[in-house]
Amino acid sequence: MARLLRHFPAYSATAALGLILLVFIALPVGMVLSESVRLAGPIPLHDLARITEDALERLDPADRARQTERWVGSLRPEERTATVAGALALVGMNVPWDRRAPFDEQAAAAEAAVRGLTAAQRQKFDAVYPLAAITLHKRIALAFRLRDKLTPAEFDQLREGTRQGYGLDHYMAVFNSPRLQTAFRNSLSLSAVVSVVATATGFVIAYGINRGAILGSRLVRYLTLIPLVSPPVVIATASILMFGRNGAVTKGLLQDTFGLIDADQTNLYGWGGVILAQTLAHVPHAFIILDNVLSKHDGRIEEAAASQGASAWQVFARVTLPMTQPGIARSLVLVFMLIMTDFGNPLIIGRDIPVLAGILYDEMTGFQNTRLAAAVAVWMILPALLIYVLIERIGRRKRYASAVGAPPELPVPAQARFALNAVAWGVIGLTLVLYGAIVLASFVKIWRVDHTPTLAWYITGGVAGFVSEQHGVTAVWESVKVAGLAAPVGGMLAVALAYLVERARVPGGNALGFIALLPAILPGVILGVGYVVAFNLPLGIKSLALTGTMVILVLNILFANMFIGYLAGRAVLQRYDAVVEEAAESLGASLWQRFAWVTLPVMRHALVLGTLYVFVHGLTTLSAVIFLVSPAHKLASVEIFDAAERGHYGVASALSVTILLIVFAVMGLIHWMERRGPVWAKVGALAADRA
Amino acid sequence: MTQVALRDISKTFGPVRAVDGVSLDIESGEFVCLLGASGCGKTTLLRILGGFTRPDMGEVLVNGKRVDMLPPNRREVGFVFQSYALFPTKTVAENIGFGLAVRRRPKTEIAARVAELSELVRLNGMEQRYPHELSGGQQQRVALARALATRPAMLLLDEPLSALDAKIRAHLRGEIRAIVDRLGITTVYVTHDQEEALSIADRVAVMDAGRLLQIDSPMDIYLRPRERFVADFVGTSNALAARPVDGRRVQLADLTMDVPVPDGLAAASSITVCIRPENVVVRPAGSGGGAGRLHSVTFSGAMVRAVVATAEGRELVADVPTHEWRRLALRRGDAIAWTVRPDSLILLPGDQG
Ligand SMILES: Nc1ncnc2c1ncn2[C@@H]1O[C@H](COP(=O)(O)OP(=O)(O)O)[C@@H](O)[C@H]1O
Ligand SMILES: [Mg+2]
Repeated sequence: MARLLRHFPAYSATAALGLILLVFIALPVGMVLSESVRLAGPIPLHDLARITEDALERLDPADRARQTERWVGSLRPEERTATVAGALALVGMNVPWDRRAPFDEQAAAAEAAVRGLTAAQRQKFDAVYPLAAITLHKRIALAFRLRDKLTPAEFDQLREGTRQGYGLDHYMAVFNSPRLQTAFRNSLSLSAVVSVVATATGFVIAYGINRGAILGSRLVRYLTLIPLVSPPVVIATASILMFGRNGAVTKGLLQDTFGLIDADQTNLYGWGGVILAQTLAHVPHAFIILDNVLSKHDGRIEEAAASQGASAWQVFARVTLPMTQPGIARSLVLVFMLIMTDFGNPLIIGRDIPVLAGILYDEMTGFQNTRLAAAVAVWMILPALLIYVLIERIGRRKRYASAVGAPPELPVPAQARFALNAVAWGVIGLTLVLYGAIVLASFVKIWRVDHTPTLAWYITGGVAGFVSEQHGVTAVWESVKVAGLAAPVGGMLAVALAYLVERARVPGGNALGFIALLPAILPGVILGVGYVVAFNLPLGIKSLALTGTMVILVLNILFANMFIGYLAGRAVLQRYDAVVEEAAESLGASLWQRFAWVTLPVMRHALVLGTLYVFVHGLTTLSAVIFLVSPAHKLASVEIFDAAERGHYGVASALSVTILLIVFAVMGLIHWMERRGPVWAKVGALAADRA
Repeated sequence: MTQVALRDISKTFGPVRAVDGVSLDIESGEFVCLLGASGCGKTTLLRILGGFTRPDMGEVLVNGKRVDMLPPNRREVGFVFQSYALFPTKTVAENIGFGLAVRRRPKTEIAARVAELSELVRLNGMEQRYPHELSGGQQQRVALARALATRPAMLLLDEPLSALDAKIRAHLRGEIRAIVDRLGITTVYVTHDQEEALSIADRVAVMDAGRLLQIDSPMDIYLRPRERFVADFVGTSNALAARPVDGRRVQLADLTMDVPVPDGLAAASSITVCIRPENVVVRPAGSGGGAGRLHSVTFSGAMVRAVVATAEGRELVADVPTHEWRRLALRRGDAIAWTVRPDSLILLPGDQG
């Protein structure tokens, strides 16, 4: 009892947090899965006849006889033919004519079939004929007649003749429907190619930086990461501006100036363009992973290889590469997953190449077919998850946590140095050119047509009569509002959860941690679709519906991105001695006081990081929120996507530039504050000493 | 025959002079220990020998040829790193055979050599394990075997035992020396542990703040340190100011002792005398010698360490064999007389007390 009392604060905090996580993460994810296996199919004739018979029995006998006579008598000729076929099927006989033949032929054949029955058969046939008639043609009238005596489900079932079932039919569509088949194949190939190219590029840059072979390596590190904090489809949009049918390079330079190509034929639309844009957009992800791995290698290991007589190439191929292999595998899987589920770039420049993301987008927005969309979403993540599990199984013995050591002092050979610099600066150069194009395009009337400088894209939405629904960059403020609401709450929740899991060690804490990490493994689209399914009509109660509100955007952004703060919080706590807190507890500090006075200051960095991540991602995410925005609540990232898709590059550029500026400003501010942090702490400590 | 010669080597890292004008000749087949406190530049000097670090100044000669521009893979040295630096992706056998594999030696030859070395460092049966499946001592053996597999001309070890606990350390120290003797390979061994250095090396090179202070046999380092730092760093020593009297005697407090004074010191008005504790003799008061009082007594088994406060107000550490101490029957606070064994005095220039 005392124990329970002592732990009560921790337990109740966990329970509350657990409930929140269940509702806003586990539930939507679970709903995607359940939605994907739900089917609505016609009930087979025999079952439907039995259901109809049950319903008929609820009428009082006299009424039943009267109605039956009326209903059978009122059948139209074509209904009569269909009834004959139905009755034959109900007595277990084949229907001996082609049901798709012209009506006249069918009617004649039906009459002939009835005439051809034996006396015994005829008797059975006559017995089921009325039931067949009602089952096939008068169920709706019957349902309404019995409305008071039926449950709503029974009523719907009888009226529609369909029922809810479960099955893998939506999943099988990927194999059965040519449209999905092609898209699936394209998605797989695209993801495979890009994951290899992006990982290779990321590796080259990370290796070069960590071996001191790259000029201006600090700058390279920063520039490489820019696409990571960019709004969606910036690279695709910029690529169109540069390499599209009317692109600065394709049309302006190669066609008009040199006459080398016809830009209408040779341009980035298609495989090359998608691969290029996706590679540039995803090199940072690969880079982060590989930079992290390479910077943790103990340089002495490579020196050992060199002193064993290995040449620079042998050191690289036999020692460095194998040690980096787990990181390479992780990078391949991550990029593969990201490309499989990315909407932006392929929908902007790759519409000729159907991919799963495009199918999902069309099914969600065009046909409201959430069931098929849910199955497609699962298909988008399944391959990467399979690869991941496979790698984990094979690579179980391979964890090369080496002592964090200094990098090796072995010189990188001159040719290799040159190649490393060429790749790194080539990628960065191209990226900068593309971003430059976006900035320019946002300040001119029409890119490559009318270069009159204008602020119209920022202020009014542009040329009169054009994009009338756009109002400059107002959508950005909506985004800032949403992300600004989600960020601090998400950061706090993440840190609190980290504390409960890592320190309070409450029962079930690890399960909560797992739920919190789900969005880290599952791409945004799953949670996006999940929110639509789960919160459209929660528990069937209309007033609880969140779709169409700003709340759903805030919640989605918060929960889809809080895992970074959680991971950072746990990392901090694992490094910092728990005894300090026990000391505080022995001095009488409550759970809250321990958290707020002792632990939170230590975790400030994790809190800042977690908050920043939610904010930046909230501004730039597309796939999670694209199905959640509504006319009343638009987000800039979705606006950018819509504008770019419709070819309104001025608006798309202006929105992108504004978001980039905000992101950079916030990151710069935080960086500055964090640098100042310790100084303030020192001042505080000095003041405390004096007192 | 001189195999390796360092000529006036210097290396700075920013403001830090990690190695400061070191010259050193190493004979073929010799076992040299670099001894010094942490941060004194031992690793840097060893890495210069191994070719990982380029000296800012000076030359490295091997068999008379300059090698300081050669990369490590052309140096023919075996290097054992402090952290072992085993290849985590490779088994024990692959680690040991790595140097031969990169030289594209036939598989059978590699296998034979790996077997030979596993035998030598007593790792047989563990060839298929990965480094993280071995204990620290075993990892250390793998690192040694790997360094030896290519039959290098020189073996360089950077504090190879510092990550192990004391007992294994003493044991492995003997093993390393035995293996090196068996192979007759020239060896440079870095350590900050003076006991380890004295017990393992043919010659000990004592370093401080990047400079090489003295290189001599362990016995000479201990008995005839040429600098106060060496005397203090290797073993314990009492430093007292003294005055040379003609060329044959030294006046120390109220004792005058017959000690040959080297020519360079004879004319000085004041010199420093270092005395090892085991050479301080303690007797009951009144038996002649300097006057003092017993300040503290610590028993450590075979020896009793007595700290004596002299009449001049200095402290003198004396180690007295336990059986003798029992005969003396002295207590803390007792007045005593002290002398030193004259043949053990270490005379150093200047007033370094
Ligand atoms: N790569 C380096 N960069 C900067 N300073 C270094 C580097 N390597 C060594 N130093 C400095 O040089 C001095 C000698 O270091 P080191 O040779 O490692 O000493 P030891 O091995 O004797 O402990 C130390 O002050 C150390 O900080
Ligand atoms: Mg060292």
